[in-house]
Amino acid sequence: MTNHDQDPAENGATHGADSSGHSPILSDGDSDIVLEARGVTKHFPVRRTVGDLVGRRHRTVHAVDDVSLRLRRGSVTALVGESGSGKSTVARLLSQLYPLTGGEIRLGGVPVKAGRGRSFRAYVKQVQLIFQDPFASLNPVHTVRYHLTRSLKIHGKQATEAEACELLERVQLLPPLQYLDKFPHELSGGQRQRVAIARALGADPKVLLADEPVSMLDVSIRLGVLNLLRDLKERLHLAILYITHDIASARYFADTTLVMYAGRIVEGGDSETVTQQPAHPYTQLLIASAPDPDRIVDEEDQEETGSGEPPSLISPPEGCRFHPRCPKAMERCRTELPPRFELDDGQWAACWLYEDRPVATTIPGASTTDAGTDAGTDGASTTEVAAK
Amino acid sequence: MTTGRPVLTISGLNVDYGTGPGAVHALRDIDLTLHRGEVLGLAGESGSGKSTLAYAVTRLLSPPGVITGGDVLYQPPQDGAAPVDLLALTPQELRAFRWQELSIVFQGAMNSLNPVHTVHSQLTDVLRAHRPDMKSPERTARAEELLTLVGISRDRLGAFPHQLSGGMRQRVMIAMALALEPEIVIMDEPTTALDVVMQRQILRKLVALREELGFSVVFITHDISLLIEFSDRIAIMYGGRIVEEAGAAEIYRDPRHPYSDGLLHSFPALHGPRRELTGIPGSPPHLTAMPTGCAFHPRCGKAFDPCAEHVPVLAAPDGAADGEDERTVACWLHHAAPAPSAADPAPEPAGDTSPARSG
Repeated sequence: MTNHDQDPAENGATHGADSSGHSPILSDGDSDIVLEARGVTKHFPVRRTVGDLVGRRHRTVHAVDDVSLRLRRGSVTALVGESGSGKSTVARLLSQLYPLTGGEIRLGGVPVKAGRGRSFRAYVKQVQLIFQDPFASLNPVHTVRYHLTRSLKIHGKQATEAEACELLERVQLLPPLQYLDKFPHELSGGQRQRVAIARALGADPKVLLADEPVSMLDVSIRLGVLNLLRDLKERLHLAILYITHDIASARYFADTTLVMYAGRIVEGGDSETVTQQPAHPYTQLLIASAPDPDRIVDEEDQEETGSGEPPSLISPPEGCRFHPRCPKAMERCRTELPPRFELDDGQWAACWLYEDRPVATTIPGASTTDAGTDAGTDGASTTEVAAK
Repeated sequence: MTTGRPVLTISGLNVDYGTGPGAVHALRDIDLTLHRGEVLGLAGESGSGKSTLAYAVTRLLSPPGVITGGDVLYQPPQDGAAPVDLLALTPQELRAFRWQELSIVFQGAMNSLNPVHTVHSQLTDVLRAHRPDMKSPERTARAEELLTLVGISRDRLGAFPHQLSGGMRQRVMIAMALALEPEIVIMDEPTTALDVVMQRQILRKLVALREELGFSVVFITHDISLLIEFSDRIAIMYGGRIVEEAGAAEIYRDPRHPYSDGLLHSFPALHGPRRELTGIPGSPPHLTAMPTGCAFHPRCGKAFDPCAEHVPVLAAPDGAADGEDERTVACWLHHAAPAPSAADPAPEPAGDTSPARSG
């Protein structure tokens, strides 16, 4: 959290590199990592009451605490959590719509802190956000053509009809000419979301942040949009962050899955492993709660997996934030925050149940011990940029 | 669970939005029977008419919605009582009927509580209106009992809605719906706005209460995997018609209508092999531009000649075994196709000479 404060000069250098139109690519083996969050934290101030003023209290909502994740080229990462777990805040932090409270975001290995104006535009050219509600994210008084050509124009492409048609073809709105002059209200929900995706592709981004892209759509067309996103991932080698509350769709669509609870990521790993052998008690609760037709028979003899509601994030519980609801909570859970423990197959869980396992050090930001190595790579990559 | 007597019988219900040539047919020829003590699931996508059905049955349909035909009969639990025609009730009778015999929990019910009144005053309001001879302490006691029933501690009775979480507000709404121990509870997407963990808690609670109190539930949702788990029978709606109705397990194991099949394969499974899913091509029809014949035929992979011309009737599939008499399906794949000259088996409700009864 401190390394973010010490590098305003480095950020200046980064902006210089970014706004000149090319992004530095690291030569080491991790060049597949396009976007990375290291120990990202976001606290929102709470409006102060008279009592707060008298008591000189500054209360904050701990929306996101110490979130580290990596988005790789040509891969989908799912971020699963209940409403209020902070998953949408992560998307907004990664798209630089909110300033960070702590931690850093790295694009192509370089720390970035986009402000407004040119540096922000250079950033969003590479990282595009798709919103949940396609009924609200398209301007009702403009045609599809306007939405697409505007995106192309802003990001320095040729804003011709041919280019716009190509975008529509990419999202399988065929024939494109039929859709070009339609207004959003003439399109169905699925078609609108496809236009929103086409608009994001107009920037030719490296990263797509999809914040619940299908939850507002009719069930029969959700899969079509998910399959389209997967197809784009494969053809354009996009890195996609798929934010959802539906863990079954994460299993279907994502390569890796991260589970978020009350502002912290509690478990991560390969999607199949996380959904088939959930390690963290919260993930187990989430999976036990998901609707599952196969469960009709054994509904009776199911073990109780915990209940209750997520905690208030103004004063989150000490230690593990899940401990008040956890059926397996131990004394230690109430006081100490569990680090990430490595499990098999790249899976990890932040839970004291696995304290016999090694603490994960490969993921930066998970613990403070690797701050030194972080600083080292920081220096290296920034000099490289500065040299350019 | 389907052994109970019918408690609500809907036959030939038609609902239009607007009148005259521009009218939109939102519901067409709905036949549906709810048995005592049963959870009947109503599945469909947006625009399929499932909420309109709930509003029409409860006479809550507001203009331009018009009930243009059909009957909704309620059978009171007392032996020998005459069935009540819901569509013929006067406003006074209707006021007494609602909450007492039939209550409804709305979509987004979390927001249907009045923010400036406490839970206590909103829960006792129902009792005050319907049981005027009940004393105030009795009402409070009943309100406490109701809160405990849905798993909220009774000291939250004095709370305002904003002091409760979304799940608790939803449970208060369910408590209110159960206040007068109605025979029928209609739930219109009661848990869509909630998280899966809370959704499961509320539904388990509801199923337990149903077994305890013996009411019947009409459960409306788009999430068919949820319905299969929690309901006894499922009716699947598409384009304003019921396209298939059968036991929950039968729908899951052996869906007969291609749309039911597509809907079941639109939800990725949490367990079992990971397979490629396609969803259903195209998008649901708009009510103003409904396809001719079977409304699903433009999206159907199995459509053949009669589908585009003739509306299939909802009936038991051809060659049904005797044990299957409970299930019905509206698809030409399962019925003998009509002769080319045959008249449309389901005549349009247009030209209905009976005076339109507004909800």
